[in-house]
Amino acid sequence: MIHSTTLKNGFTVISEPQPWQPSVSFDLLIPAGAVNEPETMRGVTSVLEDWMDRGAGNRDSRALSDAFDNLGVRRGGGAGLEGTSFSGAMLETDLTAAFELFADVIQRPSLPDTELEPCLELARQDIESLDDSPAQKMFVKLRERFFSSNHGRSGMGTLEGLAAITGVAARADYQNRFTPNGAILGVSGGVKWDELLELVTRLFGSWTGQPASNPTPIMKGGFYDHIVQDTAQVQIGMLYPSLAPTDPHWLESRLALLVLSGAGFSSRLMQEVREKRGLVYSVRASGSPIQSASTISVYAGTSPDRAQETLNVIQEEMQKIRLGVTLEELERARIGLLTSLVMSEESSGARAGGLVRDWHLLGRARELEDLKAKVKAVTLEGVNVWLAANPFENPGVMTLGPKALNL
Amino acid sequence: MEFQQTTLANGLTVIGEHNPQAKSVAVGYFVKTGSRDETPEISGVSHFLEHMMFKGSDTISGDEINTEFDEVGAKYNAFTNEELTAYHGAVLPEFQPRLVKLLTTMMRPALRNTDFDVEKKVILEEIEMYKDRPNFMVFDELRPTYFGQHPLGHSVLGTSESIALLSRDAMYEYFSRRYAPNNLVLGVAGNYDWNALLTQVGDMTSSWTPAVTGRTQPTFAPTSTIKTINSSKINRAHIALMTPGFSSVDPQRYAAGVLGVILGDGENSRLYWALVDNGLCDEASIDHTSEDGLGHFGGYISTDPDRAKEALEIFKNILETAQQNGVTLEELERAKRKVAVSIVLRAETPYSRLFSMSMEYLDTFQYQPLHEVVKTVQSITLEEVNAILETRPFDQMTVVGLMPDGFAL
Repeated sequence: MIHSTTLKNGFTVISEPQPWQPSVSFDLLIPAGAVNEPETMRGVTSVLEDWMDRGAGNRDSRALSDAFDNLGVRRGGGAGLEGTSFSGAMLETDLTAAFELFADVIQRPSLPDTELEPCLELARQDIESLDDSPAQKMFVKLRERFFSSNHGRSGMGTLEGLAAITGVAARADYQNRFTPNGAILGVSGGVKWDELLELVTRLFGSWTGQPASNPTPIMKGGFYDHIVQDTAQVQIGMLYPSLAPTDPHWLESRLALLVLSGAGFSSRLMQEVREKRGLVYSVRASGSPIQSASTISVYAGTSPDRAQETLNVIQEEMQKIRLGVTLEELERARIGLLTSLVMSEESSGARAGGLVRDWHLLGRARELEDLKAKVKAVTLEGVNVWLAANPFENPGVMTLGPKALNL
Repeated sequence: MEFQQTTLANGLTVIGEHNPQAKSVAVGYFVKTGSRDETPEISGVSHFLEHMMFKGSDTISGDEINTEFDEVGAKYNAFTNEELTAYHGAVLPEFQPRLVKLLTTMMRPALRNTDFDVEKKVILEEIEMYKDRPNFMVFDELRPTYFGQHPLGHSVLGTSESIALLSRDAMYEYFSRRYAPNNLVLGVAGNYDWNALLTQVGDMTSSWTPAVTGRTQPTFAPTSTIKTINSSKINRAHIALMTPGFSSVDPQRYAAGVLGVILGDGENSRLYWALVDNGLCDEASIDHTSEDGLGHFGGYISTDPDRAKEALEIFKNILETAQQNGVTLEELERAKRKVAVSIVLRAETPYSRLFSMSMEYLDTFQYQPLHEVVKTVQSITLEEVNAILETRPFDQMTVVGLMPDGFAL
């Protein structure tokens, strides 16, 4: 059963206890992301995320790391497009001590000048590393061009943005954007709701701040760009505009997408591009929801002499699906999705992340049983009517490699 | 959780860790074969064969295999490394018989020529894909440099040339030698039905015959080498290194693993504080890997090319200081705690238990329940860790740097 409460300061806590688990996982999303960072300091969110970890409360950087390690807390997270995530997993018995440390990092980071330079240096190296990751570089450029709103920003920022960051400006930005108002904490695993709520209220209840505001996403497909780079494979990327996660036809769209590119090899792109023709090792289409919109991204990597055929076959499949899917295809997509949902119940980390994603995108967290029932209720007609009315079209296309292709 | 185990008349070992609370069943065939069991003429065959196993047997086509996996909603995959090839999937309990049937059928492939020719193209693309990943390529260069003539230096993917020349018949010959039932372990984890499994697998594999398998264990003497490879296609310095370690049955492997965490974990390790915290490198790490008969510490550095030499010197100094002065009790306790908790956290799902259990079994022929693994880690002493350092394992170091043109280590 899912519990949730929003504290007076706008901080939401959601939990789905799994009493059989010896561990607890959590995910805390602070509404400070690349999408709302100041234009003059692009990259400041990820710099802040690193900086916050370098000392908080009465502990310096090393003491803080030692304290986390003494508890054996496994930490994750990072700065993203619409928020910065702090996540962790630990034994149930260490929850209170671990949350006390996280509360320090999030509300009372020391942000000392001496630690800023290394953070900026690492952020610069991240950007420099892009040339050695051609697929990632292609998608960074594709997203930049595809969105006219800030949603095309890469979390890495820009070299100019990093150069403009000062300690004073970054601290002010932390005060502005790292706030409880809109923050979402999801907790799953061996945890009791009453105790959790009391703990969270004690640790995060008196934190104050303004709500964050995000721009509206604006997507603009219908282009083709090529980046010349001497690579072994051509990187092919496509972005299609798609519907909001709150749309009543969201599940129809997800199932249609799984027919195109599911977890297995029987999906259309795998069959046509890899299994029948041996054109690629990697080809996939996947959906990325953001607040009030989503994109479908398609990726393939292949040798220069086979890139044109690969692109042609993918385009054909993306267009053809408007004619509809078969009942067998839908059932395979459905059982795949249902199985993923059941398996997510076995993992406290997957559930904690799911609760936060739901709340962030939908403003509520879905019970898995309800969601499963809705997935089961999707009909073939529903999917095909939706596809006919909402074909995958008008993509932004980007390739990276020795030579441009013909679109 | 209950451990179950049996060996069928044909030599196939079946192991299971039953968890009645689980909501899924994970199943996998683990084959004790990999690139170390290849000769140069068939380099890459283990991995290519892994792909071909999905192309069907005499009774089922590749398309039907793909469809069947998806009809039962399986999360599934396969991988090949130097020592092991694994085929694995997880489904809801009601689909256990169909998943077991599918995986078992796959273990006797047809290796049809038409499939072989199409899949060869996919393998060649996979090789090309990795050419654009310098952090992978540097290890591909390091392995043969470090291992020399020892078969652990063999590349898993093979080369474009070896794959182009590989024939279907050579693959079949390799398959016949290596996929005998006595060289396989079938693992299951989660909420499975043990009796149904044994009946089904017993029936399906009754015609399988055991064979002499095994593998060579030539002697190996590590050397100190340093090598730079230049590439005009890259922007950063990627440095990989190896030093000798402990095999997968050596009791010292646990202490070596914890030593790796103290020295080179991604966060709060000695290398982290010396190289990453100050922004000199965006990555600097070392960890310990056990192999069949050998073992090694493997390190990696990513940095600006003009600071690569300096970074490598600091990296070596950190290891040398540890060899001279040992590590502290506080560091050891912290690392043990970190390792023990992450073992517990990883154990949540049947799928992840399947891997830990089966791979440990393939290496040691033993099952260790989770709490015993944790206990083993917790009982590591400072003397054990420092005893490893006293043997000066980092003196014999092989380093390969993949650097932009004009830079050298």
